[in-house]
Amino acid sequence: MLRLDLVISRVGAILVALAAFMLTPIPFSLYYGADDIRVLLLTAGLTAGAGLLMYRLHPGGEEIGHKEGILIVTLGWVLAAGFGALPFYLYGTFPTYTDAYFEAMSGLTTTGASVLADIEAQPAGILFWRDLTHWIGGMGIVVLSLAVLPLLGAGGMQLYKAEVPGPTADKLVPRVREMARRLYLVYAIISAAEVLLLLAGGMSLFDALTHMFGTMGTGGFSPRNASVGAYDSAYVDVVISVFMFIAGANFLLHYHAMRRGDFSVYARDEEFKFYAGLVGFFILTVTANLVLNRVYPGLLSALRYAMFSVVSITTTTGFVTADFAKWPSYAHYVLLFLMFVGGCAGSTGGAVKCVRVWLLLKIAYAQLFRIVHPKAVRNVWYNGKIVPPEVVQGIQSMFVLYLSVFILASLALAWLGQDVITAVSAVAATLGNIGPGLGAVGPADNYAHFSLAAKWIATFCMLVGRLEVYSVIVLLAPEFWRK
Amino acid sequence: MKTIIIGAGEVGFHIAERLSREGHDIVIIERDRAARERAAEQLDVMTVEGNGSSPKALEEAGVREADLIIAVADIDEVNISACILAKEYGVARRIARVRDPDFSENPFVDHGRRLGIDFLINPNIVVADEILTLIKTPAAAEVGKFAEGRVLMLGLQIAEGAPIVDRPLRALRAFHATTPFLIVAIYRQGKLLIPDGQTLVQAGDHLYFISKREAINPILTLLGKKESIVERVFLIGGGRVGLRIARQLEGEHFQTRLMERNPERCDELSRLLSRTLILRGDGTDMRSLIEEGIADADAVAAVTDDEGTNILAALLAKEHGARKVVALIKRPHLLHLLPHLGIDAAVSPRICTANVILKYVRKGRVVSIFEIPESEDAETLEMVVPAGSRLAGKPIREAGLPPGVIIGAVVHRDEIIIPRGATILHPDDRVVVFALSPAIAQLERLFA
Repeated sequence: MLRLDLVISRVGAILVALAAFMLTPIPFSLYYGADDIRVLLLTAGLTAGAGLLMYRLHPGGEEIGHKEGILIVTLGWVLAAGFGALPFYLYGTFPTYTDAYFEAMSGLTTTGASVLADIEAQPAGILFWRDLTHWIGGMGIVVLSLAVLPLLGAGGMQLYKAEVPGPTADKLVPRVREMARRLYLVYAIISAAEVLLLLAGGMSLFDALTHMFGTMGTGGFSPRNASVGAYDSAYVDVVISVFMFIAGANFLLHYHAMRRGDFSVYARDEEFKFYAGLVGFFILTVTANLVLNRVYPGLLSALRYAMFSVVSITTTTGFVTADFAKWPSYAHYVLLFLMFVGGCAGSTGGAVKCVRVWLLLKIAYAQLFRIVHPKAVRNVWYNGKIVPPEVVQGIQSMFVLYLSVFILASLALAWLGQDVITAVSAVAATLGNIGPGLGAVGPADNYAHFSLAAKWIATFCMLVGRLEVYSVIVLLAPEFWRK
Repeated sequence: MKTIIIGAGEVGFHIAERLSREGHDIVIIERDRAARERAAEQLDVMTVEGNGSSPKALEEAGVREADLIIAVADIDEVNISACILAKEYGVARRIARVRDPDFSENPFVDHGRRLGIDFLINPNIVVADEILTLIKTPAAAEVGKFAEGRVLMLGLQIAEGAPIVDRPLRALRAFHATTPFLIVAIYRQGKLLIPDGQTLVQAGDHLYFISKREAINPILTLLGKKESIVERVFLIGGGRVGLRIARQLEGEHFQTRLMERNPERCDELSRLLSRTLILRGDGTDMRSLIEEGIADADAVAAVTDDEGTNILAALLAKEHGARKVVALIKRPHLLHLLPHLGIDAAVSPRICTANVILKYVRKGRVVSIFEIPESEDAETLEMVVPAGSRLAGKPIREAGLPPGVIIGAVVHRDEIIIPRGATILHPDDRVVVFALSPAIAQLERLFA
């Protein structure tokens, strides 16, 4: 049974939490004397008003069912982007609501694909909001609401599972609300550390905060037209690389490491080892490739740009310090491939996730083994436990669905006239929540030249990617709505 | 409060649901994956894979920080070892379900205290006691006792033609003056209503009321039930539950007949019971039961190990004229179905066990609880008005009770009062409160 009034009321609660965040850019607007305060106040008021009206439909603390949880999360994201787009639209940043919605969805899903041509021409408040959406969407709007709103506690695990990336959802503490709070606390502590380090590197508070939002949410919006490349500072590159890497790892691991002061949790986690190995391997080979092709003058500068780009793409951040579209084909291709892998489960990163890629490899190997030894008992083990068959199937079908969406969406873009490289990389970059692709949507370009239809396709891909396919696609199945 | 529950079966799941809602942080240890996933999916709890008696699983569940452990796994030995270990880990309160009567009866074991158990529950005893109460109160489908049994809450089905049918409750005022009682809830067509003065009672309603014990008979007449003396009792099934009921009945001069299928068990029963007539045969073998006079029985309790047999035997007995039939049911979700079939009362060992455990856990604040078994939506609690509470010194209607809460009885010093809006509560008064589930957390804060 699907109680629509309950669903709408919970989505309303999520909007109220979002509205509170819409006020945070105002101090910066005041400081920089920007003219966007009225728009920010108005949108916060509209969002809170709409949220409260929706909330009043069903204010009781009833438990949420499985299907209701999925619908709340997906609808919550669709509407959060809808209201999150209002500052851009009402201020006149974009001529059409489509563009504003694209930008807001790109922000919340931590994609970082932009349709904004001259970023630096925008006022401080708008830019702050544009980046803040990364920070909120990174750990999750719903998880945030779980942490701050008591009424979402009942059945909160349904919501948590539908939003947090990864094939399984483990609990840290008995209560979902408490877990959401602790995750946000870890998130806030690491975020604060990055801001301090960026300030130490000479950034202004505004730039440090906005880049931290982009890094920690693995988003990739920068308030500068040339992205992180604008600072041309090795220190900034290294700090941001390190924090992108942290944000692309599982926050449950960060929690355990901080709580126990024991960093061996990373060494014991199979996914983290795979993630670190993958990033390390491709940093080295891309550096070698750049050096051999004499793209950069020295080994160190090749290493610096290779590291930044590999980490930025693998974690699905999408910050740019170099136009990798002009790199030799190996480096080029590695980045396209990494767009599919993504960060770890329980991170703020997107795409398929390391744990799934790693398990798919293990499953394939187990299958090979069974061909040689048909009678052998050969389970797939992960972190010391047998992976249950439903989880195996869940991973395999998620991968198939992910590829299906990828193929259909890129075919659609090709139909709309995009060239192959652009169509393929634009879908990989939006579905994987990365941002910049290759070709006409490469690091030096953006998505502004897309047609209306193409923009909506890309927007849809961002949502599908952030919610890991199932939560969105299942709503398209008639079975979901059958009584 | 941090609580570890071992076993996510019916009892463990039910307790976890209740306690989690009341603010306990719950970790469940369960070996079976399906049961574990059901709990993780439907409740706000953490689950740990493993055997509840393994130190590894207990440590993973955070046993060192736990205040309470409730061991309700299927195997007695698992529950016992879990409590022995938990005591060593420093868990303050330890509850275990142990089915083997040897442990509850043996004086050396001392009610489990030698095994690190503070509170040992034998579900067979709990359920036998519950059935005994129902046998002795023939008009009611459910009986809850409060204030040492001086206040009763009864649940019963209203029959066609009862004097109360189709009259608004406010028309009962004259009756109230002599025999005060409070109808706290009506279960009608799958929904629980809180009645007011306008409410009409209909035939087929399942009605819950609270009153003093000595006032019960005139109330039952009003409700169309006749309370009379119970003499002839039939028990079907001579297992642990049947034996225990028969023993208690022997002590109170009932005329008891017990039917058991297994010949060896019959021999054993005849050795253990002196005044009970032991019959050998199947509980659904009506011919022998009729010959033995089941048609004149005041109460029939079907308590074999097989719930299907219990339901059939109870239905057949009812059909042949037994006045009240009670069936023992394993699956709690069947409970609400049985009144529609004509079975007067049904008892589930799991629900009974869970209630007894909840009652123990809440001890201190809440003295006695009684859940309305058919519905997850309400319960009745006995609580003490704390000194300095904002409830004290005010008429009830001004006390600001949350909606969905009715005070059904007040024990002031030694006097029992069935309250009205103008009744004033005093510190240290005990009150019997009926509450819908959403209001319980608020209620507990008021009484904290």
